[in-house]
Amino acid sequence: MNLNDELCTETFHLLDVFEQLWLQASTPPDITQYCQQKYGDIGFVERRVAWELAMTDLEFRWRRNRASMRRTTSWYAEHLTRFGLTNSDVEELRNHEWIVRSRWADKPTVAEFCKEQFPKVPANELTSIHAHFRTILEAEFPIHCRWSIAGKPASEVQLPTPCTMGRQRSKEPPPLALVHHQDKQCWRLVVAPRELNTVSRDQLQITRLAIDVVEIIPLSELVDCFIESIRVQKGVRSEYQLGPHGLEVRFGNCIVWLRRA
Amino acid sequence: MEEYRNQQLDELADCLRRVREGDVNAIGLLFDRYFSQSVRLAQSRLLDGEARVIDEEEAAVSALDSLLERVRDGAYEDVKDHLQLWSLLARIIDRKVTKYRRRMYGPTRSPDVQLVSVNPLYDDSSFGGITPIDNKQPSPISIVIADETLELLLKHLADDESRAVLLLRLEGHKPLEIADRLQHSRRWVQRRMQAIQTVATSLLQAPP
Repeated sequence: MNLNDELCTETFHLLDVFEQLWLQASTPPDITQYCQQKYGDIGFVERRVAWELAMTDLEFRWRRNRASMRRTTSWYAEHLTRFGLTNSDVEELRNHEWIVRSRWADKPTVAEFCKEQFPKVPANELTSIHAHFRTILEAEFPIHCRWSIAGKPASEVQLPTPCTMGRQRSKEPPPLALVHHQDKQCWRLVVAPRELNTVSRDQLQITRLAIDVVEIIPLSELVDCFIESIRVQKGVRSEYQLGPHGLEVRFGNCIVWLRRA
Repeated sequence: MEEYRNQQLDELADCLRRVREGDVNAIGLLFDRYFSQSVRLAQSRLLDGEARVIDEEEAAVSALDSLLERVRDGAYEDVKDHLQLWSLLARIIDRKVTKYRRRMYGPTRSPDVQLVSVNPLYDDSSFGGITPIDNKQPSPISIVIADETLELLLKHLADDESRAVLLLRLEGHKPLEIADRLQHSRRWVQRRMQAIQTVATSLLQAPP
């Protein structure tokens, strides 16, 4: 059995040719023209060729990082529907745009991106959409959270957000536990045992805003919170860039380092 | 393109022949070519904190020394291109790092800091979604089996680009990073990875 032959399908070749056009030509290839030429090919719609081409085209347009070249998902939804682009394809394309822009281009915040993509959706209905794009961001570009208590290194976890951090409550599992509160749509990271009262039960809340931006809100009145050695008062929302060296947060005798993986 | 590839193959074949003859310049050439990427690979194989004790440059130099010594002794005559040579070197580096790690922890001890990871990320399991990472190293037999399987898979892949994707993935790079390195799109990498998976599945299902 020659396995290689099975893989060299016509579709594979068709997509690779389009990618090569992007990589070799000085001007971007015209995706609608390319779709028009190839539309008659066997399996164009079944194999979701239009979607594959749109994924490549959108990515390279943002990766080249020239404002004049950029196209958003709505452009493809408008121009490629006649070549078989479905609603679910558009959804996936939008998720792809979010990843591509976060990684290679303008790095928008979740709120900015959602406002741009869903201009007609009222603000109160955007919460679940924000959560969806935040989840994608955290799966593709996770934040690692490492902490130490009383000078002893504890552990490291991949941190989903929004997440509150604090000492163990009576019905919670012992430290090194990450619990998801379905009703509040947030996570809780138990970093210290019940008896360690130098840490509050609700110490701070971390929310991811963009690929390299987090929002931190100290929640404790009794235990001060220091972010990059600066004291931040309870309830004050502050945005922080996760630089190459990460971000240091201190409370009680606990130090937390956040960095992007 | 084909001409360039042939020229590259000729150069490598010539270089390996000179190494076998004990030409110091040829040894230097291969050393220069592979040193920095060997150091990077050794570095990626080290767990957190180990870099303070294990020197990745030492592991890379030792692996290159072993490879060149074996080539000088007449081994690896079937190595024809840089990819084959690199996959060979990668395996030696892997074993060197394992050897250094064993020496570091001693014969019976394991690292005492328990590493944890969220696995899977959104699973609300009984242990709070955090699972300990197994710190044990694979046994020599499983390393050999993995090596042989990898070799077979590399042989059955359609093109050099798929092989490059596979090797980068095995080095721990994510699809986005591979897309960056190979200057291709994310979907291109994902398509290659799907194709690799198809080949791997067929190989596993094929009768021995």
